[in-house]
Amino acid sequence: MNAATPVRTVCPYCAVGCHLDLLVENGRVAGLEYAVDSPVNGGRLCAKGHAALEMLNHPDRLQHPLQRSATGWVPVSWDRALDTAAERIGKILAAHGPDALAFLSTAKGSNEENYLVQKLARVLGTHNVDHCARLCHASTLTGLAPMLGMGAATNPLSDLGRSDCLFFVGSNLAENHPVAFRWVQEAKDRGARILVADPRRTPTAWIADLHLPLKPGTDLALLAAMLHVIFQEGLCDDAFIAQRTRGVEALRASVKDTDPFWAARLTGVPARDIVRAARLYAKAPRASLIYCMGVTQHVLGTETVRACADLALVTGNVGREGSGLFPVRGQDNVQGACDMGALSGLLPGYRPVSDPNARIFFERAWGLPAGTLGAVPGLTVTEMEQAAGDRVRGLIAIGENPVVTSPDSRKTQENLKRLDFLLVVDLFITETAELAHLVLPAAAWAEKSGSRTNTDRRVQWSPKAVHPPGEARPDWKILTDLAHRLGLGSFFPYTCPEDVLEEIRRVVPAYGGMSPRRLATAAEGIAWPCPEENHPGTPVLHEHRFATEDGLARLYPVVFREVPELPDADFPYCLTTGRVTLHYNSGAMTRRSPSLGSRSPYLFVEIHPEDAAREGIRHGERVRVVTRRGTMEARAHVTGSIGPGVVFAPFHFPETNALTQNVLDPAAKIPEFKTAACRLEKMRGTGP
Amino acid sequence: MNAFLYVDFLRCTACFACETACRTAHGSGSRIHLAFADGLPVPLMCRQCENSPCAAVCPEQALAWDTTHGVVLLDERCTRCGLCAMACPFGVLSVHPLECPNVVKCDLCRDRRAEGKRPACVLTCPTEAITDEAQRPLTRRRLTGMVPSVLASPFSQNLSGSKARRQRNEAFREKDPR
Repeated sequence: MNAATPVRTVCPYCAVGCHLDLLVENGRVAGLEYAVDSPVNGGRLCAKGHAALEMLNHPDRLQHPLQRSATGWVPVSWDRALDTAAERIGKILAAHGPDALAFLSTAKGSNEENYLVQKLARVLGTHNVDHCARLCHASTLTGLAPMLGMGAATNPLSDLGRSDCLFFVGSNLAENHPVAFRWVQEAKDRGARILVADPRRTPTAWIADLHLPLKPGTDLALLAAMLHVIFQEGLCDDAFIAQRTRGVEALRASVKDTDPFWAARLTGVPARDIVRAARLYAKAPRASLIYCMGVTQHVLGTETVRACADLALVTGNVGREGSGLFPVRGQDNVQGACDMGALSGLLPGYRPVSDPNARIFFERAWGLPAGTLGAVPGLTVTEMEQAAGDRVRGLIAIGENPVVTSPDSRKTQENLKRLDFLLVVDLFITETAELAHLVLPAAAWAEKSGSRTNTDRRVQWSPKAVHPPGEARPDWKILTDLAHRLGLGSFFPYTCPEDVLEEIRRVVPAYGGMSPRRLATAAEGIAWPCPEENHPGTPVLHEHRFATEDGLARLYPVVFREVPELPDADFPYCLTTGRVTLHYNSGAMTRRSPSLGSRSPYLFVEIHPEDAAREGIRHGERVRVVTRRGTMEARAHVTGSIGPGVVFAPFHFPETNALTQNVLDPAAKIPEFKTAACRLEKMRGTGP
Repeated sequence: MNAFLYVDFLRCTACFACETACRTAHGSGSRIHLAFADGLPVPLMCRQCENSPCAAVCPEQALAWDTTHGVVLLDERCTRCGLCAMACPFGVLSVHPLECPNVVKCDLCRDRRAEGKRPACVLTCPTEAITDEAQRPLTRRRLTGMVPSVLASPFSQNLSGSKARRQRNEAFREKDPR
């Protein structure tokens, strides 16, 4: 054991960014040690963090490039694989032009890698680059950016511990960001009030002073009613509204009729509780609003995000320590991937492609001829998959598994099969990789170095601890090599991730002060914006002015609409999807982990006892869940923690998204994952 | 530290970190079991009973209690007969010859403690639901349960008694709607 050297890496799972000390012995990870002195997690780790090591030496890990042949997968050399990829991409470019190509970037990659994916796409001449933020927090960007000037969390997560009232809307922090929940518990110990609006009584709701079990898709009605109460009872912070915001009259008028009794009919939450929640939130000296997928993954995602921000703004709970707006991100680098412009409509640093100055800036910075970058945004994740095999002929998916994660997944799968070329770069043969023409083996988090940005905009450097298995390579290396084969070598002169970070510093002002050396030595990372080398970083945003042109926040009026697919006679229940603590997104990593898989091995659906009795379903029995798009089989969990009429299924299993609907929020293009009308059918036998 | 682990059920969020930490620390099955009662989690592990039924029933005297280490298993004496697992009133001892050579029982991370480290589940628990220092949770319980809640309120930090109470009451005064 004496030979083991600890290497401090950043956990590859959620966006809290916990430190994980790997014990490296003879070039292999021998174990982990708790980073007790870490200012981020103080040694704490969740179940997934512990299981992260199982990913490094997993027998299913891809070790060689694999090419599809008539008889199955054939291992090929890297040279041959990259030549094939370049040739197939070249053919598509020649025949159909650059917009026939699409790139799925990854929130599991470093900032440097995301920067390279979008640069490769844009140097080739297309804005068809997007990543899974489209499926989680796209509505945060479209919702918050015009209001506050930035679509990011306003405060560090540790500020949750300093709040006097925490209002969770559609966020199950206890299960999905367990380590961050320590600050919530800390606040609770100090006497803070906890409010949770969620259709399910989740572990987050267990410690709540007030749980508002609303019907899925009615968050906006609840928020509108709370705004109504706040205006009606004069609980708003008039000085803050007058000095720092614009548009209060339109907002006030829009919530004039949205009283708690109206909302009670829509949400199913008693009017009395809505009034209580509004008073508790508005009267607390420092209140925080935490929201997540329950707010964003709706057709009304953008509007609901804006209502959350309205609530924080009219009560003056933005721009101070301990009171803020927390859109909690799900993946370790989803914030960074957005910052790096791996989005179809935004260049690095959130500069819209429609802005001619931004286009000229990047054409100059990258040495491209004027006019290379188009003014029209590219295709988003769901649009790419809809156009696959049609307008899109080639798709490069890096660390993404759309067959599991995209709505109406059967359709997605059919479309992907019609592509001329599907290149997948991943750790495992995922459900998407099974359809690919070429699969390239990637390096996992501890096998490469790079910077990653957590949910509170904290940029942390995670160094390489061990070599990847077999011939697997880091994404930045694969992308650079591919660019060289495509004849774009002069745009990709990188020899290490640090070179890429230096370029990012030049083109993204918020990252300007983050030199590789400074990041490597900063114990808890640096929060952007950090424009200069001697700038300390900005943990709390909007302290004196908002990032809008005139420095004032915009308040947006609230208009409620019903969800697109309401339960009816044929499909009487509302299916909602979400996460469970032992699994992670598409499950590619966690379903393969022995310690997590053994505790949560199968797909289940939560059903209220009344509904179960009506359908004759008992706990543990197999049921079939049917929507207009598909069918899945799962085991029934009969539980009172979910409201009557609602059925919950985790989305970590390939079956779930065959049921969800591909109806998009018009601004954010985020699908309606959270509601779908379904029916339940009892099955014979108890199954596995 | 105490020779037992203190569990505050109300703080547990069922994140399963303790189970995976235990598995990682011991390289085999978890010694902590997250049981659920009425849908709410109860982390169970060896209670290190002073008058321990497992030690009393062991035919080889392989289990013994002492004040500093709790119930200690003497590996070399154990024959894996499984009587202790049957006797345990909490059901937290088990024998899985294929998975683990010895009785699967919380040893308070004996190896880690020998290196001066705290038990893995204690370190990892995000909400301090499991702790080896009973003093902290007991103090916390006393504050929230027995002392009037105003003294534990965040608004009282810089204020003294009556003023704090008045401000807090103003902040949270609730009327029935309409």
